[in-house]
Amino acid sequence: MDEIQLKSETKFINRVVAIILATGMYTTIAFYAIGLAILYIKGDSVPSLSEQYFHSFGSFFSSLFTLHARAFLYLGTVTLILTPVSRVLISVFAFWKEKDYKYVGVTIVVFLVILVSVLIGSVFKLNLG
Amino acid sequence: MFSTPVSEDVLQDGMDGFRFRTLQSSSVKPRRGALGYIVNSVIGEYIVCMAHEFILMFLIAIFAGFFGALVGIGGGVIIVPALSLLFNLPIHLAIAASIVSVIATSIAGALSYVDQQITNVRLGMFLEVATTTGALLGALLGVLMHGYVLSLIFGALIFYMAIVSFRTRNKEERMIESGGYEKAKQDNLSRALMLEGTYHDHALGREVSYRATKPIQGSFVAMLAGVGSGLLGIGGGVIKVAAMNTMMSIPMKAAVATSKFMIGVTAATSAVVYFIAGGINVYIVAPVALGTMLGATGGSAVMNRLHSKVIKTVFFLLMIYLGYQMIGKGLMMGFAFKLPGLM
Repeated sequence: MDEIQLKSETKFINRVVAIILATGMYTTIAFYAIGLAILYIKGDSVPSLSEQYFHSFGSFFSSLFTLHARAFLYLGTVTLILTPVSRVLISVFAFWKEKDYKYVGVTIVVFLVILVSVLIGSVFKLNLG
Repeated sequence: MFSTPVSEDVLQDGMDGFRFRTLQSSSVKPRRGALGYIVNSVIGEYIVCMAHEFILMFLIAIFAGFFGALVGIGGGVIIVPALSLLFNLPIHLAIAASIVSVIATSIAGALSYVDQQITNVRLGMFLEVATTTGALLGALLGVLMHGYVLSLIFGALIFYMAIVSFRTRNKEERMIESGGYEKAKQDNLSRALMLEGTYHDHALGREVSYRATKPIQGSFVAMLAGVGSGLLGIGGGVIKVAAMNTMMSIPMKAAVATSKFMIGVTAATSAVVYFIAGGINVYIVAPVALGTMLGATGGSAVMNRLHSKVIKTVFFLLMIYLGYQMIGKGLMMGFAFKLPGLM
């Protein structure tokens, strides 16, 4: 593989990564800003931790459409956590497009580790008591 | 559902909700506006309108992000003690909030480096296998461990960070000048994985090329950094940079950029564990993450204009103080042993 080709590939992957990160960051900032603004204007108090998670899509959307801070803060947090995860996922395709199959493998392994973390989190619950 | 007033019983059953000093009686209405906080504190009733706690958290997070960027660390080592000591939050919640804010700062930092083409995406991806695995183990340990043990470990870590950050390195430019990074002997694995790169160094005004070595040893240290990150809610960038720079023979700038790039995915892995295990409180996470992100952006912008010696001394003293307080809190919680001079 000659030097120039390697450089352009790297530039392509860097470009893709930068776009994903920027999109995720600005979306998060927007959600958080809206949520915190609502929180400040309404002067609400905080539900206990166990009440913070949404147990159904219905309760999430009703909370979102009635402009409750919780829905926006939740969305912001989920977007933030998923930004690096989607960066990994899309890198799989970027490396695939560049026919760099070694790194397709490496990236898939990273993605699998993240999937295992979902499993670990649902098996071991946090006990704050 | 949403606007549940903070009632006595919610607070008494304790660790689940916020453990703020909160409404003493339901007859007193929480006040709004920035002035409310001051008024309420002055009359000594300890009535805290939640909105003000958020503003305080937000401001502390801005400070942590700003100051962290000045000394070249993420805000985590300041955020966790601040939330744990000032707001008296269970340390697990503080760690979970911090790890999410680490994602935020790392994205902001990684962006500028990726754009400048200093980041070595392949090297980052390769080491992420180790850091995410470590982060997974660290978060699992963190979820299972008692709060006081985490406080003690955190205190020890801060002391260590204080000492490490006090040392300065300046052999970097000599190494670039002599072409030491280009001449590094590459092993077969590094060559097969194309662990090498070139970037333009603005300060030196030339292209710097390098070839990485010892990927296995580097991975091992990166994994330890991942464990620390998941366990304590920090980015662990200092350790990753050291591993890449001294062990794998990566120039400092490429190591820093690649480390920032890796920290996001590493922190996201442990954040997923904490999120699903039930440790993420979005009301804490949001002001903290937003604040650190803003602070870090501002901090990196003014970094080059400030005298690093003064900052380093202030940082050193702050770390020593926070380390002492965290160890004090851990001893108090675990063994009911009281150190003098605690918050």
